[in-house]
Amino acid sequence: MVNQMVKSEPLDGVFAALSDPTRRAIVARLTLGEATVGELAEPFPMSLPAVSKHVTVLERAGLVRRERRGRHQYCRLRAQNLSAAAGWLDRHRRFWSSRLAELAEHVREEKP
Amino acid sequence: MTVRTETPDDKTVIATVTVEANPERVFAAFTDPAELAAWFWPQRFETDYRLDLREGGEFRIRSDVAGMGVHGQYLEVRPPARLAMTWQWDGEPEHSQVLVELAPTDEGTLVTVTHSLNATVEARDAHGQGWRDCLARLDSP
Repeated sequence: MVNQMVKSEPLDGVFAALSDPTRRAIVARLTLGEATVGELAEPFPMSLPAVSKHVTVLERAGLVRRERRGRHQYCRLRAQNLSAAAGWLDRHRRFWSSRLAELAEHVREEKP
Repeated sequence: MTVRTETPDDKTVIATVTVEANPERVFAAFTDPAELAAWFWPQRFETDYRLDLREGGEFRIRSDVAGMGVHGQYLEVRPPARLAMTWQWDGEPEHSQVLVELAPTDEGTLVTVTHSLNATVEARDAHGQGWRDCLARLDSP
């Protein structure tokens, strides 16, 4: 059920956190299951501390929980905090952004 | 060409872009099935576009290859400036609404798409009823 009483303040944090492509990629990776910061860093051309900073932003937004076990820090998605509204907005922002780019290309190509 | 997006509230996405074509051409790109097919979804989706382009008419866009689709009802069809419709992704409970506004500029057309989530089914239905009432009034002598 959609929570109709979504508070705007936590949502602002969620949007700010998801406004970055690296952090969206991290969230996407964590939907597959937990991962160490090292594992999260693998696909990105950036240092471990840089990725760790991104994880911290996601942590502050309540989207990720970090746990130290032995020598490693494990990150897990706090899916319930990726609220229905936030998910909806982000999905549609990406949808229309990519579609309008295609539209612009399409009508320009056919311009006489 | 830059697509800009903003989220003025928790339930609304506004996307804007300026395209190099006049509003008539862009309106056709949104409303002619062959035109829409050229840009809306990738060709490999083999999408079926069924558009009954009139106020109250339904549209159904479906790709069995991609396993996704969207359907809704046209609320406002005013070429070449405005197109409004209800919007529901196949298999999802959320009812939303899309308004496309086209404004001529020096470079071509400013396209503004406002996609808003209807808070409740009741609100959506109330909106639909209000619109039907308006049309009924237009029809009466």
